[in-house]
Amino acid sequence: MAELKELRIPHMGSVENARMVTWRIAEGSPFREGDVLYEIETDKTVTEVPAESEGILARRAAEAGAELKVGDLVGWTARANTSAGEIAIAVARVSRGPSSARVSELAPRISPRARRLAKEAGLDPSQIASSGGRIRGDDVLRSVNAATTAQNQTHSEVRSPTTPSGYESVPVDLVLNSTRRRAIARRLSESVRAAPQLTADVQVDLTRLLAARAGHNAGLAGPLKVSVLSYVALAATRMLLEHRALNAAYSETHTFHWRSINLGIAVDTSEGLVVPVIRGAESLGLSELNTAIAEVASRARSRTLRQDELEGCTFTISNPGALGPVLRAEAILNPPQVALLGLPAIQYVPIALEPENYRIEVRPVLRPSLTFDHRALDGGQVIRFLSGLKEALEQAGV
Amino acid sequence: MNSTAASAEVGVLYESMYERLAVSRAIERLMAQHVRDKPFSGWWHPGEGQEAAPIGATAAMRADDYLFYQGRGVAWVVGKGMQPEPILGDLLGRMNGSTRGKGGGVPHWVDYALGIMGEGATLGSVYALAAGAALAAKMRKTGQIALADFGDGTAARGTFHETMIHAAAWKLPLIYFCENNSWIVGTRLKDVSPTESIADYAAGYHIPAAVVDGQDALAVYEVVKAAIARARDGKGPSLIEAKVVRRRGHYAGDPQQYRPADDLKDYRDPLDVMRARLDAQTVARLDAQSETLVRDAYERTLNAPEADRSVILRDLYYG
Amino acid sequence: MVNHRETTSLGYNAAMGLALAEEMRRDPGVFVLGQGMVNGGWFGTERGLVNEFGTERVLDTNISEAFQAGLTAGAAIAGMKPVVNMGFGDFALIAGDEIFHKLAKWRYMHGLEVPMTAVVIFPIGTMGGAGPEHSSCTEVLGMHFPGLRVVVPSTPSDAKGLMKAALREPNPVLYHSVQSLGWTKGEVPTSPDFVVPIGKALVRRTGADITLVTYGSMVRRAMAAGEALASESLDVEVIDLRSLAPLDYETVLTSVTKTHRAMIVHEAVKTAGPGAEIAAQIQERVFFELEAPVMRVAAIDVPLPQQSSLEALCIPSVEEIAAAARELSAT
Repeated sequence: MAELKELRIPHMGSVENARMVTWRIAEGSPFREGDVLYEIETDKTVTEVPAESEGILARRAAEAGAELKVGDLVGWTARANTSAGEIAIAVARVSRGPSSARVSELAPRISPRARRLAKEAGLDPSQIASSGGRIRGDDVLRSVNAATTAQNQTHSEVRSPTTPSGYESVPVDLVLNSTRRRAIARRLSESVRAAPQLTADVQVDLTRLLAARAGHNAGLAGPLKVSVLSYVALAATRMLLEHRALNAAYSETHTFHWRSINLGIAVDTSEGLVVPVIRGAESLGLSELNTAIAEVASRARSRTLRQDELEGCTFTISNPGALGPVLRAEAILNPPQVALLGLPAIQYVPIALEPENYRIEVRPVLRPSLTFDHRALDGGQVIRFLSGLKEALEQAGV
Repeated sequence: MNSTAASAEVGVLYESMYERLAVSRAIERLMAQHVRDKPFSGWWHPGEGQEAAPIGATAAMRADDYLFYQGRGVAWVVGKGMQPEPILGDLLGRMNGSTRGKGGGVPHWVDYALGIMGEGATLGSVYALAAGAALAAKMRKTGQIALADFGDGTAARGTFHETMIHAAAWKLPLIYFCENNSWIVGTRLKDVSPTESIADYAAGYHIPAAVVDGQDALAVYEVVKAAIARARDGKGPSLIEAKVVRRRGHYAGDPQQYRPADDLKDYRDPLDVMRARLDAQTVARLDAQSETLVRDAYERTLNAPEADRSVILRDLYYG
Repeated sequence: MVNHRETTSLGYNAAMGLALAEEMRRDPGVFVLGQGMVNGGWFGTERGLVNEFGTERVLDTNISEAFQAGLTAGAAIAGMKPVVNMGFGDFALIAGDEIFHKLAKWRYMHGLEVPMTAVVIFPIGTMGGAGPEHSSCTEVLGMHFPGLRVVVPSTPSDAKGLMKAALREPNPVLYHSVQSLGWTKGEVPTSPDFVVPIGKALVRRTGADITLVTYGSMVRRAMAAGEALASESLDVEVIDLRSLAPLDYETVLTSVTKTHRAMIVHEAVKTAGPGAEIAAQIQERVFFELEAPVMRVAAIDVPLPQQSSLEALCIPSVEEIAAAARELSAT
């Protein structure tokens, strides 16, 4: 007799609420260890939940849109190679349940009124978002309204879109925004709305740093080679120990001066920007930091980050320069952080070396941008930080 | 009244009583045959051989005197003036019955215009109902009386006593009429009663009682007539015990294994008792007449529409 | 046009008595019987009737409940309009054959399409220590024997109006007077034409959140619970049925269709009480309007204790009613 295992939303640090976004595996389909089973949206982000081991998805217990909590049951899995018939029997047994309490755990209780309203609206009652494990008539009415609104929106995009005025005659491909895109859009808009943000830049001569780097990396295998980013990250981390106001979070009455530096490294992935966090970066040396950066970047791209690697970031470093010859790396702050360091591309530019001689040489130059929340930080604090960072980087290796 | 007129009056009385006895007997024989030959709803309780008491008693009653009877045979309602057709219609579940389709094995014949007030199937419900009608008569001062008919076993019901206490105290115009055939289905009366004579109870209630030969309609008539006169005169209730013989089983088909073989040795057919007072031609005429009357009524009833679903919801509430 | 504006303050039992007097004046066929009637009855309802109508129309009986009820049936069959006070609703069972077979079924059995007026007064419910055989709520019995009307007034005004209706009703009426309300006072219309129709409920408190169906002794407690819950933003609609047969389902179901949550409160024992029938009808007829199961708040399934303090614990209190309403609204 096939035994089913409960599939529940895993604990992810402080996260409580999780809205089911979509399943990635159909009922009855097998999956391997690491395959993404479903996506949930938490307060922080949209997260993919991978399978911890191989199996077959026997039955779903929550559908897209369901408002759930960490620990909630979302379905059952069967062992790999279990036959469909055995799975069906096991599912039926589980649905009947040994007690009514168990039964109510399996699927949200639907009131008679809700069932009728759903039927009238042509909705499957089990598809309706429940509140607290119950589906009431008002929940259905809300779903109906939401569906109508969404339907109207979809229809308006496809049939008569709310095309920006003046573009009616411009040929167009309509791309439906993903849930993640909409989540990002929401967050960025909120960040800009809430915090007055400015950016200050400095110019750093990387000659010595690059030489030091070359020397360090000589004789090292590929992954062990230290990146420029790592040098900058190290320097920034040391600076943050001196300039703690930039490793902080702002609230109306208090500012949180974090005691540890949880360094966020922005990583560009095929699904968009991800910022994995290296906790306690202040205690890492150059090599360790380099390794840590490489690892989280890799896990970010393979979508295997843990929740604690996605939250608790106290300072972000963004490295768009790695992607192209971008001159400036101003960014939008990641709330609740008050500062973000953006690194553009290294450029070879003529700079004046000895002002009194006006000697000009072409040097490798980096112009980091420090975007900051002006509610929490004054220009002076920022400039002092950047000056310190410049000096540290220009003296690297010395 | 001169003796000729008196005897003519008596002659009419005998004839009318015999006619009713004959009609009752004809229906009894018909029903005995019918339940043997055809399906019948419920159980037929034959009254053959017990017709004299009802016929005699009803002969002494006015049309507007209230009769509350209990269910053996047809003689009570025949005696109170109901025709064979509505009687048979009720027995056979036809719409031409007196209840317009409500009848069955226990038929509940009713005709308020004839003073036939109906029948409660719970034995012993008759006393208080009759007393209520008697009270109504007394309050309205109409001179009507009420007669409660019951069997010897039914005298054991508490309601017999609760009612008699009050009827005696209030001097209600009420007649208790007991048909004592000494059998309570298959139980002998003497095994379950301190007395074999129900009339014995009257003394305890300070009311007059009479024991009468229930196989002789005329004797019953005389006794009831006197009791009714008392009642109409405001002198209160009486208890009449008619000794009768249950000729057949309790119900049609009752094997009567409890009955000793000689239990019927003193049986006298009430029709024979009355015939002795009439000449043969009259008897023959009345026999033939009643036979025809009942046969015709039977034919009409068999052809009458059967009770249907419409009867089910009828007469539950008025208005 | 009946003028209901003129009222007088009367006790519940006194209002019943006034109705009897008015109907006895109006109709010579009406008379009263029972134990102790000449002295005004056990509970004062019949006080003074004998003075106006004499012992011809106000009859004392011996201790013979079966006879009293049977006599009532017989008199009604013979065209009178008797009112029998049975003393206690518990005694319905002593007179079971007479009430539930004879009165209920006589016309049906005999195919008689005739009016038959008879009122059986059953004083029901707790009165503070009368014990398990003098405090029963027996009103459900009348509901279960087709052919009877069943009423339970909860106010002096309804006590009068329903008694008058009962005596003008061409069908036998089981009139359940509520013992615990016997001496409560209220405004009673003085017009002798004031009649409360049998089979019509009254919404005593309108509300949007919960339908509370009740009658008799529990109406006051339900209203008190409703007031208390209003301060918790729970809006309870209290329906006083007034009649149990026929029962005004139209009013009940209209309310449940509005609130989607229903509860029934009565003093009678819970199992197979009137609430069970009402709950069954609600779920049968408006199931798809319900957000939650229909609840019943009723007496514990025991014969009532003799000791009055224990008896009080057996029947629904205001707190119990409110708690049930809260639970219902949370479901």
